This record gives sequence, structure tokens and C-alpha cells, in this order.
Amino acid sequence: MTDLTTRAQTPTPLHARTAELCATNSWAAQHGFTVPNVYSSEREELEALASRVVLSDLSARQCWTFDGPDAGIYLSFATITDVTTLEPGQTTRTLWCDDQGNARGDGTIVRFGKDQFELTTSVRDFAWMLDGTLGFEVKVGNATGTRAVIGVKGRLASSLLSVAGFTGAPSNKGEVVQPTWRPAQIALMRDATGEGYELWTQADDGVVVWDRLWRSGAGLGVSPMGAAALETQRIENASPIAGIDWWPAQLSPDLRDCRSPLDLGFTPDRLRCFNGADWVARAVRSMRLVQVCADEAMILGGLTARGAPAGTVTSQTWSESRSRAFALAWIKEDAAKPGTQLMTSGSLGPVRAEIIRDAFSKLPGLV
Amino acid sequence: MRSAAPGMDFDIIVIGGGVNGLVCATLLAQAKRRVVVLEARDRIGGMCVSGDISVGHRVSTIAHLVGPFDPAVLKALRLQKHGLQFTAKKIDSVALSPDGRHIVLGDDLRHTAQSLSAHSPADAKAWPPFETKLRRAAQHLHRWLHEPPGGAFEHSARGGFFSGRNSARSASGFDADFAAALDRSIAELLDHEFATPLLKGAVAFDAIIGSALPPRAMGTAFLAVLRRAMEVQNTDGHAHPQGGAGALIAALARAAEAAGVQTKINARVNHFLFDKGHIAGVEIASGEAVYAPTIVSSLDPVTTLLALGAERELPLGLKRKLKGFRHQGCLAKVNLALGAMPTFKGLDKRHLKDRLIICPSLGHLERSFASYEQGGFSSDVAMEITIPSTHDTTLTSSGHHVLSATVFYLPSILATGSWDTGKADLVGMIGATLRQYAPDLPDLVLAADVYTPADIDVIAGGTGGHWHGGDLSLDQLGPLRPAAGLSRYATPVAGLFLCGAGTHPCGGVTGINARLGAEAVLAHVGARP
Repeated sequence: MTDLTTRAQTPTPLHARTAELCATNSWAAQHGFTVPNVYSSEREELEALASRVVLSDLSARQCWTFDGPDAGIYLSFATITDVTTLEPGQTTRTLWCDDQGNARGDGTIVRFGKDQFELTTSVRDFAWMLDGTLGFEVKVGNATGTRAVIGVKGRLASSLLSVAGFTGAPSNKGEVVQPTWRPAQIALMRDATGEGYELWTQADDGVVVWDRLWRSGAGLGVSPMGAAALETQRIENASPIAGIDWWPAQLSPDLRDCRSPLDLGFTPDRLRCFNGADWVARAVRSMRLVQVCADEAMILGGLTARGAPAGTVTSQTWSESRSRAFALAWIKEDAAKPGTQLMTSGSLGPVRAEIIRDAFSKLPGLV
Repeated sequence: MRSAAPGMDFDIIVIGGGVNGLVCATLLAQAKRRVVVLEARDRIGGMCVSGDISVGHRVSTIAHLVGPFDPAVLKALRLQKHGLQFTAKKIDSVALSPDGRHIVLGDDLRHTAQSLSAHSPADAKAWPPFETKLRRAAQHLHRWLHEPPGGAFEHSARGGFFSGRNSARSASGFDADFAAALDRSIAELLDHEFATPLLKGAVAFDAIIGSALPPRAMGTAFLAVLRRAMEVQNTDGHAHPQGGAGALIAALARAAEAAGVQTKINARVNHFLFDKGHIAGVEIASGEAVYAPTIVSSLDPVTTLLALGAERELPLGLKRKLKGFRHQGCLAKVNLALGAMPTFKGLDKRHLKDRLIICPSLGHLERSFASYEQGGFSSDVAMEITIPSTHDTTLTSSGHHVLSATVFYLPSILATGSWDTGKADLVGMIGATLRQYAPDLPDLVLAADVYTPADIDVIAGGTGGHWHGGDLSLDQLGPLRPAAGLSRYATPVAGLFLCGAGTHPCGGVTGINARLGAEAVLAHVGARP
């Protein structure tokens, strides 16, 4: 163990391994944790992603547990998703709204048992979920920091899971497995981009699973990928993040910045009763979060369509592998069709950009 | 969720047999609805009851002044016909001074200025224009108090009251700059205008009494207007019913009975009953189910919505707001039986029927609040005293009197010790305080009753024992009372309404909440022709 171990102020459960691999000593603060920003170089990590397989520490998230006879009913009311339809072991992406139908957060729910669920998210909104339980037989716990989440991405990701002893790629709804080599429950699911996988374990099992994957992947050229490359990859994959690409309602500086589930690409069952449902049912999609691309790097700022203001860029990156710039942007609904030509700003002047697709468009497991 | 059978016993259940519950029930029954009132205790009345301190010494147990009662309710219920009589109306306030230089705070501005001139000629000169400004602002606010929040009036005045934009146009002589100052603290407002500590103490006390707010809390200046707004267009003002507050309840009960309202006592509501998500009735303490498709609760909103089984029907954000609703009581009531009329230094006998305020300064209030915040009480508690036996001969036998004191900033739970022993300390301390103003008073005490905020909570059937059903502060008034989205008496639970003191406009024995609650119910269910 090197002295790097002690440098992170809030280490994740995988820090013992990631610190050894973080040769650059470049760290990023993420949702209250410290994670490696760049292990070797961002370019090398993205090349490994494109050609082989990478492991990432995704443990820097909030994790809330819901236990009790009403856990499923409560989560189905608190979020826009009917989680009672999930089988134990299945997962779903979801978001939750305030009383006026404005999105407060998004995350992933795993059903571990009949009365046992977990929700992970990048949004710090535990008090909201906790206070809402009044009247329900459910115990909500904050397990943040006690779960290790490992990302497995890349062309050989499925192969690595097989080699490591998992039974193969999980379905879109995920599964909970208990491998023979470790008496632990591991939730295995598609990641938010739909192109990789996530493995959730208890913190104590995290290093064991990481080691298993790392050793198994030696023949596949496995390497670690840090936060910088993950950020590039998420924009390339049109995967928005709360607090960067959209304002959770409770943090929104202005009511006009609040977003309904429809704005975020979710289409909840309008007949179902969930928090804010009445307002969501009446909501009209006015803005759309889309991915745009350009031949030159873009900067955060406004976009125009046919000379008129049409939206705002929220995230941008330059893709080395595709030699193109990608960005996520809010665009007015009437201008948000794929193929629409836009003008935005680059560091050297105006940049011509084009809408590719909706953000969230590749999310798996939407119930 | 508990399910109910579809057969309905009544059209409407009203929970709570206090003033608001009875007024609301009567108004609904007058609209030809079958109404039942469920009262948890063994008698109706809530905080408006009369009781004996000892044999021959009767007093209003908790609330000791009535009103200013909603004129529309008085007219609709014809309470005088049902036996309500007042032995004192338009009761003035007197700020007591230990040296006998009391200040009379009444309708007559010259009278107040005259009593104030003994303290400060400058303040005596400044009082009439200051009070006039408050009353003009109150005139403007009056209509707002008598409408549900969010009505046409509020929309027209939104943002205008404090800025004075609309107000300057709509009320003649309205001082826009003065209105803009009302979001400040009452202490700041008074410090700016006056120098006399006794005047500032008494006016601040009047503004904030009952709310767990210090005199330097933002927005407390507005409460001085709110208090005056309640009295606009009310000729009776604060009044004393003959026989005490219980006499008001007796008249209300007769009015309710005449309208066809049924009343069940010893009927504490355990929980609501539901039928397919719609309210369908209640189960009461005996285990009996009472069915009705509409329920109106005069209990505090937190108890109603978070303690009786409706929690699952509420949006998450509303639950959070309700949990944050401040309704912790900070008043105690002390009733003393006296062997004779005490002699207050320098107090004209005609003022013995008035409200006597003991609050010598703003600093006194601040020190009292500091002790309250620490979970205790100090010798700096402030008091509002009435001696109703001076004008109501039905309360005591000849020569004896009763003194009713509302004591301000007392915690529900003592940080050290308990109220079992604390009550004796409180009575002793009050005696010592009163001795400064009426030296013979402690020696005349024959018996004493003490009701702490916790006791008042039990009587009121709510949580916290708050005098007004919840703090009166800008974040808990108007469209925010008791919470945004819940201020128009209907709740997110289909068929459940509110009408208690925790709703708009505020607490007090006024009947306004009940009338507005009843109107909201009838707007939903409709009156029968």
C-alpha cells in the first residue's frame, strides 16, 4: 500500500486498489468522495475502452436502502416507476419528483428481495426520501459509502464477466447473482449508457470482486478508467447527469429551470399514482435534452437555430477516438429534431453543430 | 389504509367540539347537511371552557377573552338568541407599571397619549399618528383575513402590501413607506418610533403573544397589524361572555342543536376510514365506526394529516412542510381565586375590567424568550391578566374574585425537572411578580390552577398546545398556513377538510376559520336546496 491511500479525504470502498493504480496522482472530487481522475492518461484509457475492457470505480454515489412490507409501495409512490413489478434481482432506472411534478433526482433501483430495495443516485436527497415514509411500513437507511460499485465497460466487457465466472451479460432489467467464489450478493446490471455493466456489492466485498475482475481480465488487457475519461464517455453516450445537465428541483435557481420527467425523456404511466403525478399528467414537453456534435470543440453557452435562440449547451467534450466534439444541450421542443443544424460557440469562433439524438435515448430498463 | 363500509351515517363529520368545530358544524347543518361533531373529551368546548378553581370561584379555564368574533358568524348563528351575553365589550389594554404610571392602550388615542405623557411627552405626541398608521394598514388587511388565501383580493394585492404599491392607491391615507416596514421586527419598528420601554414592551407583547417568536424576529411588526385587522368592523372587540368562555360554547351548542347537529362526546378519533382512496369515516376510541363521505377537522393540521392515517395519501413535499409547521405551545394559563379585590398601585378602578399587561420592556421579552429557548422560565415572563369577576357577578360569591393570567414564553417540557414541581414554582414566581404591581395580591390567593402548554395540548386535543394553532409568522400565514397548497381548507385527501386555528387566517376565538372551512366544504359538496 502506498501513501496515496491516505491522500483521499473521503475514500471509496475500492480506494485501496484504485490508489495503487493511480500513477498520475490526479484525483477528482465526486459527490462527496474522492476518486481517481486519470490513472495513466485520458487518451490511453479511452483507447482501452474502445479496444479492450476497462474497470472503473463508480462507488461515489448516494445509496439508500428501503426495507419493510411497504418498501415497494412506498418507492412506487415516491418515484415515477412501479417497482412492485420488478422481480427480486431486477433493476430499473427511475426518477422522482416534487409535489409539482418537477424532477428532484434520478437513479437506479435494485430489488434485492420481496421487501428489500436499494436506490443509488448522484443526487443528495436522502432527507426527502426519509421524511416521505411517514405512514408507510418501511425503514429507509443511508448506506452511502458502504457499497462498492464497479463499472465494466468496453468491447470485451461481456467476455470479462464470463471469464470472471459470471454467467454472462445480464438482461436489461439486471440480476442479482451469488457467485461460487464469494458468498456475497452482487447486483449485475447494464450501466446508464447501455453499453457497459455495473456490479454492486457490499463495501467489504468490493475489493474481492475488483481483484477477481482484474486478475481475470489480465489476458483481455483490462485497465482502469478514471473520472475524466468517464466524463468524456458519458457525453459521447448522451448520458446526462443531475446537477450538470439538468437542475434537480430542490437545487434549481429558478422555477423555469425545473424539469418534468417528460423533459428528461421519461414517460411515466399517467394513470398511476405517484408523487407529482397530477402535475406530470398536465405537463407539456417544452424543452428536450439532446446530444449534438460538431467538427470543432464547443464551449458552454447558447445555441441558435436559423438565427434564433434555440437552447443551451450544458456539457461538452472532444472525442479523440471519433475526432469530433460532442455536447449535451437543452433545445426548444420545436427545434429538437435529429439532423437539425445549429450554431454555437467554440473557443475560436462560431461552430456549426447538428442534433444527433435525444439524451437518455439508450437508457436500459425503463419500466 | 383502513377501508370502510359504503353505508354512510352522516353527510359530514366534524372532528373537535371547540369553537371552530361547533361553528363549522352549525353552518354546514344550516346548509341542510346531516352533521355530527365528535369530541374527544367528556365535554365540548376545547380551549373555551369555564371551570371552578375552587368552590365558588369560576373562571374561563384557558381562553379568557372572546373575539373579535366574525360578524358573519354571529349573524348566521344568532348566538344572542341562544343565550350569549357579554358583560364587557371592547376591552382596552393597560400596560402596568410598578410605579403606578400605567399606560392605557385603547381605542381613544388621546387617552393613550395622555397616560403616555407621564413617561415621555415625545412618545405621547408620536403615538396617535403611529397607531393611526397601524389601523389604516389593518383596514387594508381586514378583507384579506375574511377570504380564503389566494382569492381575488390577494392576487390584486400580492407584492403590494409590503411595497405599498397597490395599497397606496386602494386605502385612503395609507402610508406606503410604513407598510414596507412591516416585514421588519416589532422591536425594530418600535425602537424607531418610541423611547418608553413600557410602551414598547406592551405593544410588542400584544403583537407576538402566543407565538414562539422573539420581539426581534423578522415580520413580527406585521403581527401588530394583524391583531388590529381582526378588530376592524367589529363593534364588540375583545369581550367577556357572562359566565366565562364556557358560556360561548353553551350558546354555540344550542345553535348547533337547533340546526340539527348531533354531538358525540368521549369520541376521540383513532383514525380515518377510507373507501377506494376517498375518506369514508372514522373509527373512534370505543372502536365504533362513524361513516360520512366528508370530514372536517378542527384539530391542528399536523395531527389531522400526520397522525390519523391520512399520511399515505399525502404528497411527500407536503408531509415535509407539515413536519416543519411550528406549533409548539409557549403559553401557560394561571387562574387564581382571590379572597378580595387586590389593590393595583395607581390603577383607576374602571380599568380593572381591562386586559392588564405586565411586560415592562422589550428586554424583558427578550430575556423571557431566552429562558424559553433553554427549556425553562425566568422571573421575566410576561403576562396578560383579566379579573372577570369585576363585571361578571356569576363567577364568584360576594367579595371574592378570580384572576385569569395568560403567561408568556413557557415551554411544554421543562429542560430541568418537570411541570409537576414546576407549577408551584411558577405560581410562586407569578405571585412575586404581581406583588410589584398589587402588593396585597399574593396574600389574597385562596387557590390556584395552572395549565402548562402540555396541559393545554391535552385540552385542545392537538400536538404542542399552541395558543393560535401554530406560530403566527410570515412563513406560516396566508397562503402558507398551514402549508403551501393546503391553505384553502381542502386537503389532498379526497373528502377531508380543515377548519381549525392552524388554518388561515390565524387562531383566536373568532370563528373565521370555521366559516371559511365550511364555505370550502360546501363549495365541494354543495348545499342542499
